[in-house]
Amino acid sequence: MENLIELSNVTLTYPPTARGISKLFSKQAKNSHALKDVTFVLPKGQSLALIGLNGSGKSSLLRVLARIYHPDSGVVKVNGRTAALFNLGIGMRMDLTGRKNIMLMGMVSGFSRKMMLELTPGIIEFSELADVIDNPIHTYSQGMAMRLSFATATAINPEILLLDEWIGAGDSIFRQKAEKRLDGMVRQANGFVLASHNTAIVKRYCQKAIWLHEGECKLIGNVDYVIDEFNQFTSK
Amino acid sequence: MTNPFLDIYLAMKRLPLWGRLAYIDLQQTYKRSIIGLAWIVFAFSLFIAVKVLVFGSFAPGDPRLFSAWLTVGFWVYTYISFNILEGLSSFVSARSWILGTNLPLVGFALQAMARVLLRFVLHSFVVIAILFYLKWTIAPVSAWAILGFLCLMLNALWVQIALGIICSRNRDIGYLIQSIMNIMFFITPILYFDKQLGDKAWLLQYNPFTHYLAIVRDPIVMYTVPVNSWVIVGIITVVGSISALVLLALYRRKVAYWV
Repeated sequence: MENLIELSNVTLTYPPTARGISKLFSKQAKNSHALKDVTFVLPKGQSLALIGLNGSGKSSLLRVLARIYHPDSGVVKVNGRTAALFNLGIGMRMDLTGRKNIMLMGMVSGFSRKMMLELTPGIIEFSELADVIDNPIHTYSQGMAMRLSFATATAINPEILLLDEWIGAGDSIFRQKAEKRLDGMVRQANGFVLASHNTAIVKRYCQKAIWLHEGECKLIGNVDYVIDEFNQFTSK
Repeated sequence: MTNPFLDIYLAMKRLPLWGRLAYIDLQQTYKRSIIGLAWIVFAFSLFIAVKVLVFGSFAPGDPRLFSAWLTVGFWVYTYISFNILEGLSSFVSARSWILGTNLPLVGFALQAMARVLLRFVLHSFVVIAILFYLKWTIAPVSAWAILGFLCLMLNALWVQIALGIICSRNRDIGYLIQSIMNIMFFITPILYFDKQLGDKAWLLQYNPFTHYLAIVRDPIVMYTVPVNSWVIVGIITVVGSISALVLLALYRRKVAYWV
């Protein structure tokens, strides 16, 4: 069976940031490791959680999967179209209406205007934003804007959805709908990767988990097992 | 190393997206103003009117010729200088898109180019109106200006890519180029004819903008094809394009960390 994601020995370093003239004569900063030797496989129809402390490499790993960061060494195989839901505002224009943003997000993902016009009613219905869809996004609350991006990203039917600290937002009714849609993705042999600090959400949504610590895979396995170990570690 | 042609190809395949993003950018610049994009036309007309009025009094010979010289010259110079100034931030200003999507990097250069091109098209209405008012006639040789402009667009592409990469890594270069661009306007023959500089006219030959301007302006205003300028522009185009391709191959993957 083909896997959705295969990573072997992925190492990623950030170059030192360019510095001002005052630092010119101080010691040269070293490259900082973001990921060290990360290896894992995500089979079709599974969902994966990335957990770990701040700065452990969760977001870097998601960006590697989205083909935004290219690792220094190792092999990244991502079989299928990915859609990324990272921080809010990316791929959105705050001054445009919700409707125009749907079109824009669709075009960015490579869909034609015509195709997006067909998908738009469904997206509006799912996001429950029909009343405000023709208002600019900067008038939306954070939860509303997130609903819109989630509805759009999942409507274009990606094989792999990448979510960074995402699902916590939205009211409980929308969360249930979102959960159903993610379940549907998994049932269609697609999958998603969710980076989160919220262990309750992770347990509920994901089957497998990776615990990242300082860029390294500390533990991979069943979500309950990994989270129990992680909780024990953090409560120490 | 990445294949620079792949990035260019992927970006070219999605021209409507870049055009749309550029249009939104411009609209956003003038948002909440009543006349919106018409400001671009208004500001350009005002600038030309004042310059013709003030500098026309120094210019020797036919005032019609000077007006056409200045109008076309400023029109083309604006296109060139906007491409350079936008190039300084073509990738930095797209930061959230570069970090949030895996769109081809060259696309953001095309987006910046499209913004400048939209301005140029709006300006061209003013230029056509002025030439019409001057009863300026167009000769068959003027068609060379079209070829000249296509050459400017090709140069805009490599400039946007090369400057975009360099300035995302080193922000000082951007400020340096900005200050140089302020000076360039005065040492490029726009507000005066080359020959007015007398025995210092040769200095202008060392300014590449003189030649970039000439390949578009001379066929329209002087009814000549500046062969010498074409050779110089041709050499810069080849060298510049190769440098941009090399930069893209070496650093395309680094830009996401730099912006």
